[in-house]
Amino acid sequence: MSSTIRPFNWSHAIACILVAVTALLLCFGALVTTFDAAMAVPDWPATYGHNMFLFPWAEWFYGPWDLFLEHGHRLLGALVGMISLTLAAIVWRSRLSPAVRALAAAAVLLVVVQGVLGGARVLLDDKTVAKVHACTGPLFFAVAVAIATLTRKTSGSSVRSQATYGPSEASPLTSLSAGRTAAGLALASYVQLVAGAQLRHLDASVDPTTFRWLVAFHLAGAVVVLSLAIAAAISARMGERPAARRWSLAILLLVGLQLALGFGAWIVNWGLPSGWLPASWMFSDPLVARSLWGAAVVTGHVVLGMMILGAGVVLAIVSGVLASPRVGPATPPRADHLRERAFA
Amino acid sequence: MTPPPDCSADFTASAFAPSSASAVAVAPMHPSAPPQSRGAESDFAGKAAALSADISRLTRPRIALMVLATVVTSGWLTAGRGFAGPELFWLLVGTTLVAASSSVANQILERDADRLMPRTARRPIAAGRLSVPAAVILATLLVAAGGLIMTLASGWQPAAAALATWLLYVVIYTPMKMWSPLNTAVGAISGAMPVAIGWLAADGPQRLAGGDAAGALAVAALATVLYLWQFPHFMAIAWLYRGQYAAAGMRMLTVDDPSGLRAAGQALSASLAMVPVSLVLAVPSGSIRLFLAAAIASLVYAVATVAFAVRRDDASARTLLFTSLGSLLALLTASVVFGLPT
Repeated sequence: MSSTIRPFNWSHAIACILVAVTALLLCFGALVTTFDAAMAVPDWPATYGHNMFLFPWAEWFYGPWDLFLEHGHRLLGALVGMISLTLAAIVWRSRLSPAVRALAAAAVLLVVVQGVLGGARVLLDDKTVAKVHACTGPLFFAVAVAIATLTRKTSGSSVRSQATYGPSEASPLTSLSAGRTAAGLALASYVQLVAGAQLRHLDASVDPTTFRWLVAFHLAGAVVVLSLAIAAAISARMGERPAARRWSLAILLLVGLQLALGFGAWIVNWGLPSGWLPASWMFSDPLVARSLWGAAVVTGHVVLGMMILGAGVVLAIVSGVLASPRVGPATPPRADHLRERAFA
Repeated sequence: MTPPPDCSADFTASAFAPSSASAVAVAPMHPSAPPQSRGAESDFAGKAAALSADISRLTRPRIALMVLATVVTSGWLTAGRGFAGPELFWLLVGTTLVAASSSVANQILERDADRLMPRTARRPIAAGRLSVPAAVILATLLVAAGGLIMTLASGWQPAAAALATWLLYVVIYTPMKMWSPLNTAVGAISGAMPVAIGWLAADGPQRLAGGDAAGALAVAALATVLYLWQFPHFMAIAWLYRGQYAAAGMRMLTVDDPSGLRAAGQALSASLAMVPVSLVLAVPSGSIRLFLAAAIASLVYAVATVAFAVRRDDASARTLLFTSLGSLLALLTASVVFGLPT
């Protein structure tokens, strides 16, 4: 009777909370860039001389929009840091696989780096630091998603490992193919975010050739991501894992939406390409990113890119890409490693 | 300055790197002895080649080269073209001598363990071709000469940094390998410290006091990159030579945990953290090219680390090892080519 009672999976619950709060944090971060609000609070780590946590909440909540965004971004960042530390403590006290421990340690390292970068971005008022800050957030998000996926329990098992996320016995090659394609998709999505950060934080002094190369790189990356999403969907469709099928389909939909948003972001930022369309179709009033719809399109494009990255990580894991191909270690393992032989 | 135990390959960002192995193929210790009939001339050539090979094993020039690359990159990120001239040449000469000294000192301390490992058994001190007293004198002369040259060329601060690195590598890291698997975390500090040599020689503190915070940030990022970079690099080496390390009684992580899971975990954490830190190298110059190059180099390294973490076999470890060298070389080269401060 007692064997049917399963202890609450704290590590998975906190990892899921971390993913959710990080997603919100990323939205705030994207809005900060869209509305150019990064310098709304010129000091760091204090907020206008106040301890960040003691800054009058009414002044923040009902204050100017850019102050709301920037200070809210900081508060959420601090919250993510605390959740990361809590998760790391729980993971390290548990008997989870070394993969989860390593990712929890990486999350702590990344959140510390990200905090320092956020401070440096304000104190130096430097656009390149802002780009690095923008590239670190999605990486942290991917790590958080990986932890949440790997800590998900199944009935009767301590942690999903090779038994659940290993190569499928029915069609191991197809499953791994989907996983590897998804891993490639996640990587390509991240590179797209890096390239996108260059365009988002573009310096006015950048030469036109560099700008054209950046745009071409970003567009080519979109083609790569779309191709990988289609390939992953086909592989998952031929495989035996329902979860992989669901995630691959979701990714395909997200990528389709992302392409539409990318086109919208182009129009919002740079207008319709002149000469490509009849003059009567062109907008009479210029669109700007800070209008409500413009901001929604541009920010949504960034946030959706991060979601595609996260979904790619999930698909790679559920397809078994993190499972060791070996049955066991090369040399006899210690007893505590017998519990979790696979890396994941 | 302080080299890891084998001369041939552990390119750990500095001679001060934590690794104690040489991973890439080791050149034959003694070139084939010339046939007796070739006479005195070929005999002399053979001895000269053997001596050259011994000197190379003792001082590990390729590791010293990586140290020099680190010093140059650090100074370049700090001062740009201002970091050049005769002072730079003599700074590098001094750094090379201190690095060579640390290698000799390391081999003195590890001579007993070296005899137990096929990879290192032919080292001059372990094999008895160089006596310990002679090696001590050589190490002392090298570090003294190197420190003196650095002091005369660039002032006492870079020399002090070099000496501190030598001490950390020789006095703390080298003995630590025998009693704690944490040695990598400590040794990696000495691997990153040559950054301080370049920064101090390029008047980094004065520039920071004058408001050049971006330069200091980039140099701090370079040191952090070099620190983190060494974990996957060294874990790959520790995996490939885990049998030899175990035979010599060295407490490498792959010896304490033969499954390789802990080594894989440390490598994975460090490689992921290295991605954003490497991007900071682009801050002083604001170069988009450097930014993208750093992103690609660090991502490739992270992918190779993930593959090693998952597979934990010799092939993936070897791939990771070569990827580590390539990614570091790409990062340092891109920093110098694209990272000229504006």
